[in-house]
Amino acid sequence: MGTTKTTKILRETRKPPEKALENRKLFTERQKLITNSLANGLQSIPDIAKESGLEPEVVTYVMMSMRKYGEVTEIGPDEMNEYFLYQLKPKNP
Amino acid sequence: MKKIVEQNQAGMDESLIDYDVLVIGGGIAGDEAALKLADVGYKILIVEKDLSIGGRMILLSKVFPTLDCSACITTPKVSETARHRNISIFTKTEVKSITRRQDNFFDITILKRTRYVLETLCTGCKECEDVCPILIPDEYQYNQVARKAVFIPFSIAQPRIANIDIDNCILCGLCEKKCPSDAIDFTLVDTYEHLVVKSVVLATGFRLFNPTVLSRYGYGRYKNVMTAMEMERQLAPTRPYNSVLRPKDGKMPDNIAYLLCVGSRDQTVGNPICSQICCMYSTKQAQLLLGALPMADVTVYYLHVRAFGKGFCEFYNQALSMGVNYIKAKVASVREKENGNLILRYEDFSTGQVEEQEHDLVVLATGILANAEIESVFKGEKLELDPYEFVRQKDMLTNPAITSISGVFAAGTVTGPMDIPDTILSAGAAAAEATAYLKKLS
Ligand SMILES: Cc1cc2nc3c(=O)[nH]c(=O)nc-3n(C[C@H](O)[C@H](O)[C@H](O)COP(=O)(O)OP(=O)(O)OC[C@H]3O[C@@H](n4cnc5c(N)ncnc54)[C@H](O)[C@@H]3O)c2cc1C
Ligand code: SF4
Ligand code: SF4
Repeated sequence: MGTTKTTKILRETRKPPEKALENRKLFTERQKLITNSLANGLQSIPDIAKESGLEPEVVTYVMMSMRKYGEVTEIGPDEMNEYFLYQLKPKNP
Repeated sequence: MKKIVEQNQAGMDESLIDYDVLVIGGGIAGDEAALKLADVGYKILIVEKDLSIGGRMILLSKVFPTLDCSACITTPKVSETARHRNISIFTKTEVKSITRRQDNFFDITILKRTRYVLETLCTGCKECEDVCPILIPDEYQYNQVARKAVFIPFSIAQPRIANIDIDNCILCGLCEKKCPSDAIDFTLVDTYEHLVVKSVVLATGFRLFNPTVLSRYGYGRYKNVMTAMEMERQLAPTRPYNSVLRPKDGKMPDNIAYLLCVGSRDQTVGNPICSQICCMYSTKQAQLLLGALPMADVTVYYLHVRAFGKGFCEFYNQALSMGVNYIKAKVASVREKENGNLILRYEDFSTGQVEEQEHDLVVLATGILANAEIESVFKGEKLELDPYEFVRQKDMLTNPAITSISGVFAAGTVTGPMDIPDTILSAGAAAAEATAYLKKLS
């Protein structure tokens, strides 16, 4: 544990794929926009889309991924029982 | 590789043999055939090209007609397969060639693709996954949510070992640094191996029809048009979202349409046959949706409802009594409204009228297609296929597991569309035929 020995060996013959680097940048940007939006309080997917300027389907995909990795949680449906409301999960100390 | 030493009665040199039977494909058919053969004492190798055994079934929500939890049935079966002393399993492995030898055994070449993870050291702790900075669509959730570049495919994967998706890895080294078991090794490479086996069972399963071919239904263009397999994941306990939601905007759907026979019984897409399972899995999903979304309406647009199996007619009647609406109709097209709702234009067969109906989610019951890729690995002998490219059964009525090649048997959906109970029966038949063949050999 604690070394990156074999990563370094592979790096000598293989470059990180451009596409993967670009994807990472894009995903991180989108994640930030969603996090900023959720910092204002409980939000539904359309609320976040409106505030962040992202397409709603992009918000669904990115925020559900954030939920999968423990960054976001749902708290229940809105008043109309149409959309769930989501909030940021407090970071583990 | 451990060899079974001894000459058999026919004078064949058993010391050459690595395994009695090679089972290709570790879905429910391959696992069942392997278990039955292993129970009578044969040494079995399962070669599975994916990261886990269990096939499509391990990813289903519940199963018709009993509504048992699919994972709860599959997990004991795959664990038993993995633990059996007579069964070895290679995942992320492909068979490259199968050639009959003069002594009637088969020479096999396999390609083991590396996970960049030492399988004997990985404990499945997922610490690598936590630190990986890459997020890309998760194929095991049918791309509805992301996964990391280093990942365990799903919680009940068998084996539960991490894999590195090298095409999406930026070689940051965080996973290697974090792994408490020193299991990650980027110097590992793909390897070819050669084996000798006595018999082969083909259990490579099926493919699903790609609905983008039928552009009139809008799949790929309209985010609220999804496939039944995507819905299976949404209904499973390990679902991608917190509930059943529309992919476009996260709305809880309350008026869902099912379109049956998408890519089945359709000469225009080259697949004129019935997929045999779509009527029933749609009927299942309709019932599960009414459980998950009690206020929802579910409408099934069908050409015929084929409820021919044991308990199927009762299952269909149960859906009707729960309020699922069945409309005998041919859907011509789907178009999207600004709010993401979808307008279906269809001919209602009961009136002969062309009608339009609005729904907020459309599910396409896509058909079953043959997975014919295994044909090309046979060298010197021809594996015959039927007109739809499923493995041809030499005598469908009396010997359904026998293929055109002596010593090669077929199990499950590799021979045609079928549900899980029929797959299990078919796998039993393949195991029985293989046993009889091996007995004759010795
Ligand atoms: C949406 C949906 C819902 C369903 N619901 C139900 C239900 O409720 N009840 C029911 O009875 N049935 C249901 N089914 C049908 C069920 O999934 C099948 O009957 C069952 O999965 C067939 O098992 P199989 O082992 O033949 O094939 P598969 O499940 O396809 O397994 C084949 C395996 O072979 C592997 N493989 C493929 N090619 C190769 C190769 N070249 N080398 C090595 N390995 C290879 C694959 O990776 C896979 O693991 C459903 C199917 C779908 C699509
Ligand atoms: S590779 Fe290491 S960190 Fe990743 S799951 Fe396996 S043991 Fe855990
Ligand atoms: S080396 Fe690759 S797999 Fe490992 S953490 Fe970095 S990006 Fe992820």
